[in-house]
Amino acid sequence: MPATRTRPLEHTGDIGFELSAPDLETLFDAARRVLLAELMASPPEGNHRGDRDEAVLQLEAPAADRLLVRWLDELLYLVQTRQRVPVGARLRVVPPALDGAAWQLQAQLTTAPLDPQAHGWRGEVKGATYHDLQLARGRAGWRARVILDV
Amino acid sequence: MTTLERTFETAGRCRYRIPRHGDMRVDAVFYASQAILDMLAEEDYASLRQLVNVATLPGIVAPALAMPDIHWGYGFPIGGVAAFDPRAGGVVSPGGVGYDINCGVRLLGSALTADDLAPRVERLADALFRRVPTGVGSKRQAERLEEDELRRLLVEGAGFMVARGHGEADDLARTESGGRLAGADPDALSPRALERGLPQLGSLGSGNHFLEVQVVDEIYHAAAAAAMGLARGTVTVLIHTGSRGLGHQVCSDYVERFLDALPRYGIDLPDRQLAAAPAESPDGRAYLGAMAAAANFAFANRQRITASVREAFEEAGFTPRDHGLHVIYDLAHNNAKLEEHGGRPLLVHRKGATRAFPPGHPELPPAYRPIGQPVFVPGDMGRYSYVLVGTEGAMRDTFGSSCHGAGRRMSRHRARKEARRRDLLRELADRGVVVRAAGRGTVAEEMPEAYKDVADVVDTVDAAGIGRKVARLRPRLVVKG
Repeated sequence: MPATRTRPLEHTGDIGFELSAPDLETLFDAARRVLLAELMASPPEGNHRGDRDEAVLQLEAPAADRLLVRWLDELLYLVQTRQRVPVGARLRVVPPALDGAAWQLQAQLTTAPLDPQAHGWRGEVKGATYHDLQLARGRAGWRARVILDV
Repeated sequence: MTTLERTFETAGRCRYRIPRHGDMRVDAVFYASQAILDMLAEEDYASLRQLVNVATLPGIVAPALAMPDIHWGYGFPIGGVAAFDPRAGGVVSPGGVGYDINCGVRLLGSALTADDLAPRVERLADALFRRVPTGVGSKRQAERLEEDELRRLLVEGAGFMVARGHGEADDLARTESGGRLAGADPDALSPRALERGLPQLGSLGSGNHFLEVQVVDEIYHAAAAAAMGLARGTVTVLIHTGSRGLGHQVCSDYVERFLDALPRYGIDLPDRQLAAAPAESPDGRAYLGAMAAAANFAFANRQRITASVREAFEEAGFTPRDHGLHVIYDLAHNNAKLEEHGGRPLLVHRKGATRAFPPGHPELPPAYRPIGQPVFVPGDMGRYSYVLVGTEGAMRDTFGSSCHGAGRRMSRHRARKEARRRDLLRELADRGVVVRAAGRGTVAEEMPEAYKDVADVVDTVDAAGIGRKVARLRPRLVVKG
């Protein structure tokens, strides 16, 4: 099975990264981890003890890459507005059953409270952009490229 | 991108043209010194490719422009200016305005000198850091609002803050558009945009946003400096922030909406971040109403921070009479505004670019009509920032626009890596700059070397005639998110 890889992109103004993973669920979860690592130096882990919460999230979009942008924007909202860090995620990406139908993401999230001091808050991210957004399936799984506005 | 390098040609002093080719509807023009040209090559002309993409948008009026602080952004390049004719199907593009709608800078003048500041600079730094929340992670909230109050603020802009006692009528008179864009429609915002805005009024944010106490150390244009009350050795305060999460959410919401609407308007794009709709379509009008509301939030945000700055100076031991803090001007560098150019109304997008109207323009406050619009160009936290004024050349060549900053030259990841080997706070202290930051990460990403030398940018502007240098400001105290 191909490994999950993440790589930062050298972007002058903002922040970008590339991901590769064997399947979309793993890739979306890797995107969650990269995003948290951009937001904080020491994000809490899935085994975080203390105040934890479970949340169910359902998103849909007309294409898989747009679903990735919506996922990242949703995570930004959760962290930056609700002050909850998604420390774990069980994900299911459902391709459209019919032409013209939407891609769906079903996420069961475990969240912990944001503690900017303890988590080494780096700074806000404004949003996930569509600039040079890529998500494609290759022989070795899925690859993505995302640029965030900071 | 050697192909692109071969296509541009000299078109004046520090001015280059990329003739229309491929899907471009108009020529593109950018401003650069030799050093800036070298930096464009270093990033493999990514920002020029973005400028070429902008030139393909429907209804664009020649030329698509980039100021000398041009660098690789998303959709538009940073430093991009593009004007569209709404009556000829011209579009509005949320990505061409940016996530941080109406991000801008406000310069405060004071009655203080560098000598007054020196003994109290540490105390002032603590007071500013405590009183001006940086956003996520801040314990303090500057202003508590109910949703109905927020909705009023979105229509009234900075005036709403003044009416609540956070400022003076003269602050508004010296703010671009009086601190209020007409046509704001709070109902065009999603509930999430309102939710994100509610706790953030009066906060700075992170990234390249900052609050800086400076000293005027050079005057280049005596009459303009005098009109702005700038004299060598006097203290100024520069506030750089925007519409916070509310504006970011408006941008995200409308990029999504416009992407869905593209087939309806028959628009093909080279980059989806340029998602656009005709300005006079229902989608375009809805965005413009939401954008104006977010712009008004940004004006109100800078107004509320101004009040916190005044309080901090008083906490540090300066009476209001001592400090005499007053607004010199407040201007935006991320928006789309309907303006008259060449006798017709055009929707001018400025993404990391500043309006720079010339002397005599009716939209200027009376005090600045003889000199032109003040333009503030922040540099980096270790060197200097500049004050310029708008010119006839800018009105003629760039839809009345000029640069907005130094422009980055180093990626944030690379800056973080470089910073690991250094003690940046100590280095800045050695340069006489006191820093208060919510985290070391932002200081690392914003290290002086991450930016071009802003002196090169403003010299290019000055040489090209699209702005005129007035004064240079040296940082003494920097607050970062």
